[in-house]
Amino acid sequence: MRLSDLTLGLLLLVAGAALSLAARAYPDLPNQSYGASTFPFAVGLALFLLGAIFCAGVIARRERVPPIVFVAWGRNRASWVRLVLVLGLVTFYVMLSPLLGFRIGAGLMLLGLLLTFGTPVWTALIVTVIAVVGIEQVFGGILRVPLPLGTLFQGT
Amino acid sequence: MGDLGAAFALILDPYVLMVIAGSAAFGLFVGAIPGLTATMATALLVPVTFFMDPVPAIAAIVTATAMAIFSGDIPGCLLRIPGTPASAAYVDEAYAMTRQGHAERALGTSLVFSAIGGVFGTTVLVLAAPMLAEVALSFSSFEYFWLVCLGLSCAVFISPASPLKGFVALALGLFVASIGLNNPAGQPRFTFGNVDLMSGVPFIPAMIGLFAVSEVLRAAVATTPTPPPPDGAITGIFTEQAGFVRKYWRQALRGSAVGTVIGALPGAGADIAAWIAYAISKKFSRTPEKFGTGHVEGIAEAGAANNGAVSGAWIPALVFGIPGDSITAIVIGVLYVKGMNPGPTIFIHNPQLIQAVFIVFFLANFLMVPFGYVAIKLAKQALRVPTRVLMPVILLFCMVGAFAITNSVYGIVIALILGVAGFLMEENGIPVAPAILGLVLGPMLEQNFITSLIKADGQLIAFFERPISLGLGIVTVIVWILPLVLLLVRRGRGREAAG
Repeated sequence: MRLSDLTLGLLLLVAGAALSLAARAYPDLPNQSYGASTFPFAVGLALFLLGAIFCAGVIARRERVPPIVFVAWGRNRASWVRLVLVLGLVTFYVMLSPLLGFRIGAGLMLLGLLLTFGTPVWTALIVTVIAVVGIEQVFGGILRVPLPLGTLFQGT
Repeated sequence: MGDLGAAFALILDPYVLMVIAGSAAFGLFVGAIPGLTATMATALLVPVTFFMDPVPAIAAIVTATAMAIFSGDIPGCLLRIPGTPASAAYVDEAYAMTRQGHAERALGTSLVFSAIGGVFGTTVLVLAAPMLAEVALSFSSFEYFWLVCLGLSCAVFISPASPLKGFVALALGLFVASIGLNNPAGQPRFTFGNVDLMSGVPFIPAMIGLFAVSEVLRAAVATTPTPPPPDGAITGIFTEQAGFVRKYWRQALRGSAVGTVIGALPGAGADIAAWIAYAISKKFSRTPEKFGTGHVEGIAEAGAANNGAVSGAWIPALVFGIPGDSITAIVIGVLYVKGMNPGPTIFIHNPQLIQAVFIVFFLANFLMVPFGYVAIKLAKQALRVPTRVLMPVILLFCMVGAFAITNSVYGIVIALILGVAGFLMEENGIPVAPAILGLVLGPMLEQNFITSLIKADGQLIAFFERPISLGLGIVTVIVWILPLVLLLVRRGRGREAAG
């Protein structure tokens, strides 16, 4: 998914302007003309200038390129489906892990990911069990990370 | 001398040695899998080292990265797919040797000369770092400001991508670094009232997202699978190596030196060092026509360079707190988290720790030879682990790692968002490394800038008043102007030739 230089330039112009304007709202240090706003304002300005350079380059070269070009995987529907599934599965874990707990939530997420990547079902199930148990032991047991227990079966 | 003894005592602890052995195996494994880089190995290791004491934590990272940079050569040689970008420079050369039935020559050369390069780089690190630290003690906010500027500028202009896109990545990293309460004015910036964002964007989940999650997303959308390695065992790895070391000692020395210097430059790491060393090797070779046909010379020099760069990158990282490459950017984050702020004072407050780091570096480079030998033998099996099983497990590991840092799903959300951002950036040719540098160095840049302005009462000329800051300032401005001047000169010459 490749953006043309013009699209990128315009995005940077907008982002830079937004950032600089948002930064202007922050107060300065007492009795000084700079403060919390200085740095983000400078960064926003830099983004704006970069966007302008990109756009100027395109105009000078008189390019006529489509705004977004889909190359290689971009034209493959299966790739898009996999991408959406991967992002969706992680979001699913983020939203539901407090309810389901780490074992079930991560187990379902990992199973889904393995199947998305094309692993055969039985391999996926075995790998899921090994990985979830292993990670729970290492992170939860040895490193004492408070992995979510989940309220669904704990009654609280 | 008492410090050295204390340092040895710190290292020769069974737990630390076990950690070193474990992370060596981990680094060899990750480096050997195409698509998993040494930086990713570090990124995956950080949540685990988060809970360790400083010495085993740093030892783990040092060992893992030294091993990963070497083991990236293994799939490059066997499959023509570099395991890490640092191996890309001579992958064709190595693969040509495999096709001729001499895989053991390529792998043996890469192993032995990597160890040589690593030891050279570490020696320079051990000698140079304390000397530079003496100089750095007289640095104040003005000098640090210019040094950070210089580092960021080098990162933008030396990276392989176009400087403009490097600058975009840098600006994005600097923006993300400015989110939160952590600024000289204590003003919540871009937090939108969210309590989590007030603490800023946590560095480790951000780094996991940019490097590891984006790689998983790339694997998810990939349309072509990787081919299997060639048949047959690999024997006789060390047979010819003594002869090669005698024959190519000049190349080994030159490659190591080039690698160490380039590694020490902020933003330029093992991959750039390897490319430049390979090019230098070909230019100064007595038989340049043999390069590309399966010739050992280029592999020897570039192999030494990329491991030298790994050690060299620690020089600015330890002395100034400015990363020499993305791996040391991550390490600096880890050092801050452990309460050991990198900079010249680390040599005063924690000398035994620094000595311990140096010892681990030597240990890792010596261990590389036996461990690497085993890795080469086992390489075939490791390369058979399919991506479709590996990537989901890595993603789960990333999620849990990111969670472990913040003990909340905030870390996972940051990793995911920045993973998507990193994926989109790389798709559009915008490199990710300057963004991580911006994220790490942004607070340092702003802190020193505002502090200097306060000290100078708003007078910008103060940035050029002190002698060292004047020198650094001039060098930085030259780095900014030089590409522009070169561009104009080239365009002028082009117009002359045309007209």
